Amino acid sequence: MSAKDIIQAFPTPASGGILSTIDKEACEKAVGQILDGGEKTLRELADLLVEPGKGNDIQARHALHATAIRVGGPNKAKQRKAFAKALAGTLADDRPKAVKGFILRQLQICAGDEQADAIASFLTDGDEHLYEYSAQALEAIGPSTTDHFRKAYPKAKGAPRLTVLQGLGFLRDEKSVKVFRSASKEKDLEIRLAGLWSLVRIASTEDVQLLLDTAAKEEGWGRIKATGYCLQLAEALASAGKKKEAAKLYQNLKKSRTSNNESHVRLACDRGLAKLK
Amino acid sequence: MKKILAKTTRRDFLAASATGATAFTIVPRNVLGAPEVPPSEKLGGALIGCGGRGPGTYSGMCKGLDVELLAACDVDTRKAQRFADSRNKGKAKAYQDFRRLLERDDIDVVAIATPPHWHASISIAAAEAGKDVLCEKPMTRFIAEGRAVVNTFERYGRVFQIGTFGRFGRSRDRGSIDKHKIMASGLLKNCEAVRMKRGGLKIRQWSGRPGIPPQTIPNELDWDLYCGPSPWKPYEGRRTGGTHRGYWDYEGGGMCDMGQHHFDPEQWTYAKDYTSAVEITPFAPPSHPEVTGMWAWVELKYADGFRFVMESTEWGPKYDQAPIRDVSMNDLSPEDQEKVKAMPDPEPLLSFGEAVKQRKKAGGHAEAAHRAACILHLANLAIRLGRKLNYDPDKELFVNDEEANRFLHPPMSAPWRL
Repeated sequence: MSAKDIIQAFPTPASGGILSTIDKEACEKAVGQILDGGEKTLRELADLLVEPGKGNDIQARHALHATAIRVGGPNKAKQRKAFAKALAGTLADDRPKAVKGFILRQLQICAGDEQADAIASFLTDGDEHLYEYSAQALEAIGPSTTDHFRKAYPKAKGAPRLTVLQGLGFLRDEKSVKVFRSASKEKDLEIRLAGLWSLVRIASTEDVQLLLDTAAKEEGWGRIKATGYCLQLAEALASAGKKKEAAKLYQNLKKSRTSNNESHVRLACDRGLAKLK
Repeated sequence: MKKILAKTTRRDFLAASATGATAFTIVPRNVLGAPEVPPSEKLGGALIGCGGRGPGTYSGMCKGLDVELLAACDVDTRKAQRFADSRNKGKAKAYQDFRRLLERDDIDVVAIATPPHWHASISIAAAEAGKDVLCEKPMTRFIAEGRAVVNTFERYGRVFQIGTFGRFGRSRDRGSIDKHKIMASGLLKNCEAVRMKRGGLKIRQWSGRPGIPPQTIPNELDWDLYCGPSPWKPYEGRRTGGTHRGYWDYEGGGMCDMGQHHFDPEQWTYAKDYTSAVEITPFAPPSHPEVTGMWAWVELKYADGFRFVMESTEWGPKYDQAPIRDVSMNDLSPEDQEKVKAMPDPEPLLSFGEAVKQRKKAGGHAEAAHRAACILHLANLAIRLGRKLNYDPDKELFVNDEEANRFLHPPMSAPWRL
């Protein structure tokens, strides 16, 4: 059975443009047929995907997503791995970038370490937000993907650079501590904040002074966020039993945030210090 | 008895928790050396998200307070300007970027009525800027956001109130109070109660329309800022302006639109403000990747056996897993009934205005709002994933289901992050 036939089990928009006539059993059966059809059927299915506005692929997208979802869960590792491998393989085909973006988002649901190479090849691609979808899929896979972010960061420019940096922070990549420290001193506010946030997620005592100094220099939005990161670092250090360093953060902030409009920061410090006792 | 009391009253909870890891005591500003804000003082107010529910949410926030609108913000500049002019022409400033609004020192209280994918990030930023917040429901788009909001408001001692108020009526209703005490007592083991919400969740009304071609972005709209923490997608008008509810990227269909209204009061009544379900069982067809759609029913079972059930009545079979029944004193032994009767009633819930003036927690505080939002998110995730889910309410993770856990804290688009 061809993919084109299989996806007829999925609904087309009914009255009001919504998918209200959906048949659960038929859709579940179709998912089974897609999986039984293996790589060939999956590639056929991917071939039915089109760029938004270039045709009707509602059923194809629905079917592919349903399959990506249903290979997840307990006791399905073998099935999930086979499906994710075949799906990642379609990224190498000649397809519109917007279609590859959709495939990347389905890989975010079901991919594992084995698909990281294929996904990471889009980390610096600024077209159709592929860098974003790639990063988010890798982040979903987990810390095993940090190598890809580290390799991409020096090559990434503009929006992909911030996304890749944030990905390293999201994954708490301790090997990127120097990158985070360097980022926290850059001209671009969002890069600075991403660097600070990443350091907070690593939660090293070595970065206490850097966070305090950087937060003190920031103004406006940057000061609001950077001060928040200082408080989060204090909490993380306190949770790790590093009370002295946590206290240093609180005491410094309490002394330096003297204006009326930062009274809530002093309150947070008082509360934090009380918990340390 | 002490244990019962600690579970029963807000005052006891606050007192007990003040020494614990979840301490939350809002210290008056004057204690910290800042000028005291007397209850009669005029507060600077702002609205972020000026379309749809925005004006009503702002008015709700102002109840019991003397608030002057100083700022209005919307990614669509027309909406921000319209609201600013309608409430305080010439004095209230319109913004397109909420970051600029939150930088202002003269704003004390903020109403947030953006689509839900922005609720958590803006609430967090507002608390970090020292503002008190009334935030529209649903509180969040995904579960990790809720925990981050709770932690942030705890950290800064700011007031958070969710924009649904049914629990206030329940907290004054004798029958609801009695049920609350039974459940809060912890004496009811193997609870057989099943509370059903049948219909009223606007499943078809807030189902999305798939396959709409991309459209030209209006000049007044900052589309990238609208997408914000959610994955970027090509613009089409139905992703905004109320019909955003039909897209997973921004809300979660009628479940998320109406669910917090329905289940927040139930959650208070059945004393579930500090926990979540442990088993979630759905009956639903495969979901579309972009738009919300049909489902039949979802059952959420708590650790004590208590169950919430939602039945759509708009698609599929009826719920048939267990008889619907409520809790009553008869579920307890005579001895335990006496213990429950001896318990004090829970303290009255504070409105947002009262909480701001008294520097205490509001009745619909962040933790309660988060747990109520979890009901919706867990139900929607079971619908989307199409399988029974086991959930750890303390760790806030699914058990033995790594793929499901990917939906609890999906990566956010830079520069937005928790």
